Amino acid sequence: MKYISLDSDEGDSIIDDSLIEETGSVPPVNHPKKHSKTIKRTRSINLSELASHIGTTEKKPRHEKILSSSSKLSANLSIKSVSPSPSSSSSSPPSSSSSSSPSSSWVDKYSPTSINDIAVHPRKIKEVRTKLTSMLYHDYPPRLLILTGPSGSGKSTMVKLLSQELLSKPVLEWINPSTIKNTSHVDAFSEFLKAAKYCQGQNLSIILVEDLPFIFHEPTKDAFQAAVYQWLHYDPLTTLPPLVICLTEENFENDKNNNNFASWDITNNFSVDTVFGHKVLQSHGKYQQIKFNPVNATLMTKTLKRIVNDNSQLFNHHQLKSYLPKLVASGDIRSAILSLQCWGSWRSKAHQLPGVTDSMYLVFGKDVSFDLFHIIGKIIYGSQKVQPADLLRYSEEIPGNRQSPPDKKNCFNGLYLKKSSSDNSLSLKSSPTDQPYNIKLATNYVLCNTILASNTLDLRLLSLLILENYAIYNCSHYKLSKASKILKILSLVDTFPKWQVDLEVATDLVVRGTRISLEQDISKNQVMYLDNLGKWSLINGEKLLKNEESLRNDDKKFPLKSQGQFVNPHQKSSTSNHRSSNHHDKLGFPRDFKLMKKSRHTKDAVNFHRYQKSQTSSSTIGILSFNDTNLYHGYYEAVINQQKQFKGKSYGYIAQQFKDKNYAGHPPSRLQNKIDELSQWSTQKNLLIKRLGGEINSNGGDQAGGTVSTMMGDLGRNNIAEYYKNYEIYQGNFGEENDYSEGELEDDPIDDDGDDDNVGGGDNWSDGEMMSDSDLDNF
Amino acid sequence: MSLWVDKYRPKSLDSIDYHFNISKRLKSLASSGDFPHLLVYGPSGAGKKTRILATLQELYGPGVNRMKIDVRTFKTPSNRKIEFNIVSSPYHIEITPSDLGNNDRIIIQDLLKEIGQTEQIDFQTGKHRFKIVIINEADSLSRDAQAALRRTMEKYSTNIRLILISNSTSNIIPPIKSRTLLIRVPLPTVNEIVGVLSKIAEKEDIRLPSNEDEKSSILAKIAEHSDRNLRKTILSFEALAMTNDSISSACKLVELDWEKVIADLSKQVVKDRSVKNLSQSRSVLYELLSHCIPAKIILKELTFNLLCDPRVTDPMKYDIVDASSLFDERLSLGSKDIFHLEGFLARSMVIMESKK
Repeated sequence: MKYISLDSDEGDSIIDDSLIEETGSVPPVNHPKKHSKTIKRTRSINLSELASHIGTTEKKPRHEKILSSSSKLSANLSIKSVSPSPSSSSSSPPSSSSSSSPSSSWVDKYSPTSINDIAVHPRKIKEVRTKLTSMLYHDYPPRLLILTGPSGSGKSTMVKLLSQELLSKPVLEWINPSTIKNTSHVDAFSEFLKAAKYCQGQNLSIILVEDLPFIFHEPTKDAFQAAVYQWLHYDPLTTLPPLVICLTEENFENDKNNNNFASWDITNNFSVDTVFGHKVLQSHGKYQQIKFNPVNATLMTKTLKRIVNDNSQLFNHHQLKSYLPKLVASGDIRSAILSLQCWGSWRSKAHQLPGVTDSMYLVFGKDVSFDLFHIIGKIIYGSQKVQPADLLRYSEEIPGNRQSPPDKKNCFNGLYLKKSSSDNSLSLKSSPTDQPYNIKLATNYVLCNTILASNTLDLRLLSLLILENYAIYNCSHYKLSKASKILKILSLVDTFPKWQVDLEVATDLVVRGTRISLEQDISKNQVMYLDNLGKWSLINGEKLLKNEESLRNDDKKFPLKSQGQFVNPHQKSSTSNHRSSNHHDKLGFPRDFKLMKKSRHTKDAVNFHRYQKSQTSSSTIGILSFNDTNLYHGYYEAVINQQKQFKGKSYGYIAQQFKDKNYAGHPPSRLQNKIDELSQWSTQKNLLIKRLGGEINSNGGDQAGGTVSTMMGDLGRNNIAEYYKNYEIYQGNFGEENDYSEGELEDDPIDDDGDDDNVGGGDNWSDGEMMSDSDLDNF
Repeated sequence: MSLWVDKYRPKSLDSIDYHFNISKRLKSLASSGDFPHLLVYGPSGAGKKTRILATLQELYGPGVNRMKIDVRTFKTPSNRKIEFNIVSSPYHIEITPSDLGNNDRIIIQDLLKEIGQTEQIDFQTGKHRFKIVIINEADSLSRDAQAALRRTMEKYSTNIRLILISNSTSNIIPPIKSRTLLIRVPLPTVNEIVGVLSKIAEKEDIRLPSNEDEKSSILAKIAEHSDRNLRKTILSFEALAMTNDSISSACKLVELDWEKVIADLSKQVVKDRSVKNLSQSRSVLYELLSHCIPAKIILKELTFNLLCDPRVTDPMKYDIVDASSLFDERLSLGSKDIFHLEGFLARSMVIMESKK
């Protein structure tokens, strides 16, 4: 039994009602204290009830709905539920409502009401629960929990349900205000957090931020980051309520007009790094991050099946069998349920319409867009499987094949579709007379089409990724000419002026060119066999022949073992294991961004040196050109200066010897001259002691940063460090008459600049950033 | 105390050690009372800038050496502010527009207009009414900027004389070439460089072999190793003198670090022709590029290093040069150097593999 009571208990409310109406945000102290204990609600049920009371049965965007309801709530509505036992607050709502009100969204209707219903892996639930519990009840816990993951993976739902479980009350959620009276939009969030600090004791609740402030606006972002930073570093003795921030990470296509691709910031990458910034992320121990994966197939299927069973009259179970896997593949449970509902209700009406074919059902469902690594994986590794829908879509275009006989089902252009029993995906199978290459060609064609159809491709990034990763294929053991072909294509595409050649053409060229270049190699270098599932697979030639060297030099030696070779299951499993673990190297992230950053710093250092040099009295030529400075002076000056420094020390030592042994009281005048000269030299400011822009590492500096100190500030600091070192050595060994290093320390003009922006310099993107295992699993 | 390159730079036209013809001509120009716009071109390290500054001294006296740096702020059409450094003396002003990239037209227009509109008042010498504007690296000026320059040259010719410095005239538009007096400064010969170096060695008290032949052969070796680029030669000579107490033919020359890296890379390419090595050399290329070594120079060095390698046979050489020219063009057209450089390496590897 639940009821809604209209409660005009305004006396407890501290904040002016009208303001709340306007802002729509829920100030933390707003829940009337005397109700705070008894409030128990589950969002979906209350929403539907509310909706019926308020009279909005239309589907609204989710947060708007919450917004309207919660603002009403905070004004004068409080909802009590007479503590229902968990079992009676059934996981399936009354069936009467499901049939009588088809307009209500299944996403809300079937949203989980207890933590056990949620379609998230139990281990993940446990992890989050442990974290939250420790945040609630332990001393010095992390103050911030960041949940990341794709949309529809149950991040916020879980937090809300855990709040019910742990505190028996709803979360306190930040909702972006639409209008604000007293504070600016920029500061609204920090105001919210400030107020949220006091949610303690009886008011203790979990604070959820899902609807981030508009952080694409620079000042708002800064204010947001500052607020979070303050939250983390607020008086460490105080216990703060747990703050949970949910983040859906994504990449954006870069602004086409923006040629400066150097930036890697929030405008093209919405991730934990860009949203929170280095300052927050360096507060180790103060925050925790948990990554959510897309909802896995088993849980998703379970949930969808439950819904289907509940509405069995809507579905054609035969069609459903082929439709469900497509929904499941998206990993987004919200979208899947929505699609299912649309499809279900469409199916129930469709038979009345003329000209509706079965294939039309394919239009529903989330367009599975791949992330970039996934795409690169597909391009480079290739795939033996294709999605049935894709195959259907592109079957008629597959080049170079015969027309399929119209009477045979599942036969395209001489290739047969073979359904894999395990995951319902289709693979192509040729009739025994066909060449295996034919299959590969068709599969590749479909694969490339699928990749090209996904709209997340940025040509520049794609090319760079391919460049970085083409060599990982088969651990670089393939013919050089293939690599050359790929590079030729990349080089060619790079010269395409953007305004002349359609980007799609260029992308097409890159994707297909790379795939086919690598693919031709497979057909010669590797052995195809038909396994006991009737699926074509590849074994690495290397594995079979164990002769790596000859493989690289001449792969024509290997006969193309013809198709139809059956391998016993035992042997098969061992080879497939080998294939998945050792076959290719790991994918890497392009180093180009790092390069840009480094070269900018080199440029700064060189320019700084140029202009500084032209200001000193020794300059007789005005400004040196950039290249001269960088190419010649950058190195030779450093060498000369180092040597002079060394000589200065050794001459000083010799002079000391003269003095000690009392050779005529003084060192010879020639030596004295040298010493004077060198000590005069070393009082110059900003001597170049290290190569401008850092050493050039002949190994390519692949060994994580460190060797190359590129920044201007670094340059200055290295100088100082160098001087310190020399000074100490000097003091230790030679006494104190030569004090040239001191002047340097005191008034180094670049001592105090460039400190702040160095902080994040080195660790932004490490070379060839490795992918996480979960990403690899996707392939 | 300064580097030898700076210390021994001739200050006057008379003290320049080679290309006496050019010096003579400049001197007569300077004394003629009027002065044309100049376009001085020639390879790097030939002494263009030195000659120009010496000419300025001839024109205005030692006042030109009192140089200072101003930071000027300009506004782009998109209302962004750019800061730009200008080296100037009372008589001349020196700009390097390539520092500004695409906004060089703004600088050319605003700055030259500003200078051109104010008449030069000189109480000390009173010789010339015009101010000199030196534009370094004129070949990297954009087309836009060059067109703007052309109009300025005509309009303000009473108050401004331009001296353009560039490595070649191929990037300069014809209207500018026709409005300037072209002066080519070629590289000094090896013998001329040897003369310069021995002069320095004498003054610096450097211990060289007493045998005259041996001495000049060492100096010639240094000069040739530095491609007769005088700046590079003197720098490397100083580095050599600093690393060795006395210079003999046994001394190892101080190689430029990036040249060494490229030489190593090309050796590696000839030795190990595989996809694995290709991806390893990418790291080296990235390292070079991140040090702002121009991609074209990398390509050139790589090509010559490959051609000089004894393992590269004649038929390969044709194809390597061919590939090099192809990727050189791609470098000009494209925007990401790494594709083309690695493309060239892959192509060369394939060539060497197939013609083996």
